[in-house]
Amino acid sequence: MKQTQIQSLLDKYFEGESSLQEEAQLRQLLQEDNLPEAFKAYQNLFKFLDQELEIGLDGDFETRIMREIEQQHLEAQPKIRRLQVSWLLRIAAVFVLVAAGLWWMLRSNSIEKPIVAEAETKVIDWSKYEPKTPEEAYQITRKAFHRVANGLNEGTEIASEGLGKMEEMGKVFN
Amino acid sequence: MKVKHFFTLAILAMATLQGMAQTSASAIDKYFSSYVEDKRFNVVYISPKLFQMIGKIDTKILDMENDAEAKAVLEMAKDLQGLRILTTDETPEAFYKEAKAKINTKEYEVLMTVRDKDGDNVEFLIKETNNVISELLLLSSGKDEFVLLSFMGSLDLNKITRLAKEIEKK
Repeated sequence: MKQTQIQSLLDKYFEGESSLQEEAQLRQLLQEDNLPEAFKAYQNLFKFLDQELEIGLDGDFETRIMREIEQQHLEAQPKIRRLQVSWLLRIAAVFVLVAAGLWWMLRSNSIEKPIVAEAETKVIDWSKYEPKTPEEAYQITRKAFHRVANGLNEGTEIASEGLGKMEEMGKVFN
Repeated sequence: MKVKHFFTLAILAMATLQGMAQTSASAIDKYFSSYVEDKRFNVVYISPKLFQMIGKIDTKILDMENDAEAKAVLEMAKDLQGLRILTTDETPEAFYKEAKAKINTKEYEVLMTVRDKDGDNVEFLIKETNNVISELLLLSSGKDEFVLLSFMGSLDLNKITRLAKEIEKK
């Protein structure tokens, strides 16, 4: 009798046609201990469902979760800073790349004149080429200036000659 | 930690930039160091210290009283930070050509080029930093001599032309 009742209630339940009353009845029937093996599985299932229903939120759940969230918030702060540093690193990387690019450009320019690049690295000890006395140095300096002055004079002379010629040509055309 | 990395990178980048700038070396240090060690060249260097000493020479000893030219020379020597001279009498024209090819024309500006009918060449180059001449470079070649002069220091072109006029008078 009981078994057929349980069976019919179960059938209804699984087809979704049972009423709340019937479900309550089914629950009650399945709580009994000496059920046939066939219903043991259902007994466990309904026990499990009842247990699940009992799980609820405790009174301090809200405060606990808020605390957790706030803690996460606090932990998140250094994460933001790390992001900023990574941006700085990116900027630095771009800067380095630009500098390297410029350097390479300048370098490849000087590669066109390879002798220059080779010579740049040497350091000269000039002191061994110094004249011994200031008098000697004066004479050398004077000669050097003479050379400059002569060059300048020659240049300006030729230039003024050229200008003179141009003026003459100008006169012809006028 | 990461910030430190950033600074290291920044310093490295700055060092690279500075390496590119290479400011105060003379043209001879840069382009002609191989000539300095070359036995075919005569090399003379006059240091700023020596220029100071020149300024203190007793003018009577050198017999240059009432000598406008000597005065102009001393006047110019005061501004100089160094004079480097390289001369050779071997294959002057080849050296002249080579020297012209070596100089970076971005850094040095040609002030004047003179070539007379005897085949003598003179070229003036200047290096300007902030509108002040920081180096005057003279290349000259003839049949029997190649000369490289490098004047370091803030040079006044007016003083140079004054001296040139003084010499022309003689």
